[in-house]
Amino acid sequence: MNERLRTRLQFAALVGCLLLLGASGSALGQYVRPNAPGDRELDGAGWEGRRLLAQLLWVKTHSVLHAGVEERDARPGEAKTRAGEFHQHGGASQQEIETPEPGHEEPGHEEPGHDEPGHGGHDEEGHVFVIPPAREDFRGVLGDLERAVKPYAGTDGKLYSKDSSQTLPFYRLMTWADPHFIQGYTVGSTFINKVGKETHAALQFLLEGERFNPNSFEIQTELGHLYLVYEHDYAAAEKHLQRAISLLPHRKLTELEDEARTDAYRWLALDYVQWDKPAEAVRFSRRARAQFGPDATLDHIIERQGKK
Amino acid sequence: MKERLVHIQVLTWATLVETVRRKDLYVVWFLAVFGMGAGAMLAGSGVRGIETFLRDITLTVINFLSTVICIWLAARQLPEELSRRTLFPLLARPVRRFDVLLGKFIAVWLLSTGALLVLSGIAWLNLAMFKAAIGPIFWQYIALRALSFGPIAAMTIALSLVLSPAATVVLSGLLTFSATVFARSMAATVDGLSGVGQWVLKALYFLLPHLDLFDLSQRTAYNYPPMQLWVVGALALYALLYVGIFLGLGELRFRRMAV
Repeated sequence: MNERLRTRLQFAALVGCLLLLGASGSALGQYVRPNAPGDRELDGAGWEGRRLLAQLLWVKTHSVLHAGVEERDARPGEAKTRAGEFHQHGGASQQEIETPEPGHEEPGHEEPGHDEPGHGGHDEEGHVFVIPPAREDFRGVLGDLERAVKPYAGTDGKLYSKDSSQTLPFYRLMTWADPHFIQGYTVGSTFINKVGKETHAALQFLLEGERFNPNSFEIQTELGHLYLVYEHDYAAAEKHLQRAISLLPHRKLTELEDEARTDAYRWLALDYVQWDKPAEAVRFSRRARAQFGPDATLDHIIERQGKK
Repeated sequence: MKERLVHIQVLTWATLVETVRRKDLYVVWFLAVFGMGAGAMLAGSGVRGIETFLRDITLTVINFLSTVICIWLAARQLPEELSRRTLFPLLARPVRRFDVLLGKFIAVWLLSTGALLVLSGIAWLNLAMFKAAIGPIFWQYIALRALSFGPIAAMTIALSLVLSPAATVVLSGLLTFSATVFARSMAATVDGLSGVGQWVLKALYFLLPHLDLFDLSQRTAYNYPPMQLWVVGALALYALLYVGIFLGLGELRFRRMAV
């Protein structure tokens, strides 16, 4: 075989391999995005990499929410020394992200739900910026340059801007990377929903999460929340919230899980209130109270609905 | 002096022609189109709020590829001349060794900046296509990246006179890409120390080049307003200082090399 023919054959073989790879793309797709739903364990180095990628994207959403400003946990005493930039992530921040419209407000009730990404609720420690203020910076002009070049707060210590919709691609990517990343679905749906303007899209996102995580009570809770508050579909909300309660694990819950559990009980009690089933609301609130002790929302429901 | 300038000009031109002939840059530009295109695919999936994400990923691709080009070009200039033995006839002429270094440095800087401009053009088109256009801060971003190529190229050329080409690329890459983490860790450690230890670490902090100061990509991705001009001026001086230091160190080593 002469040299020229051999080269052509090698070239044809390589092109053939490329075509084969392209044609088998759909088959490879199932490894990238598993078709089989459920809480199937996803083992192996590839999945570890995807979980890590999802975690990295999760951390990134926090920076995106703060227009690129990087933060760290505050050290003891920094709440006072860096008061201008010290802040906690909790109910107040949530209010900024998802300001409830008057029609959607729950009587005497703060909306339970999710804190900003990357942070659990009740964060007593608070956060400060990674880049220190000029008065605490030993670097002199180098520090001034860093404050000028990197995203940093304005002179009043406030963040430059917040645009929560800019985090959506990150939630989409993190749940593609790891479809079992529950918080990606629950927190992502809150931002997609955008105070009821995109509830259908948020529900679709959560239903996708439900398909991959049928035993997640957090996703069921969030589905119930959206059906109750934004769709006013009380029967659907009840179905999901009751399922959430039935899925509660019989072990010590993490802080986030504990919040989701409390939310499930509160939302279901409120669902009965909105559905005009006061007796059911009181009965369920009492049951919930017996389960995890006094709760302002449930006590309020028992008091108000009990009179009816 | 005029003769030296001619030497530097000829050396720079020869390096430019040689690099363009090798077609390395085309591969990088192709990779840029591929990388940015992959990021833009998400825009087609109907996800809202894609602007920051697209700008972020596009600027990350530019940062990465333009720095790789700069390091790669700088790392191979002198080792290649040495291995091909083309440096001998060059140094047999009445050319100063520093002028050889300077000619190589200028060529690498010009090529890296040219590559950056092409990458930025591709990025601008890509972002405009998906309605994620960048504000006027983009020009400052390009200017600072071009400035950063000064210290990066000078440092890599100096390292290439001491280390093997592979080690030069790895070390320069580590120092450049981990600049932010390195600087932040050092600054945080300073706070936790006291006495002599703190003094030594502070001195080290000011000695090392802080290449992360030339990275405006995050402010650009979030469309911050442009910076004040004194910042660009101060960073230009900072870059020039380190170019002088690294080329000086390189020349000291080059002068002692038995070529």
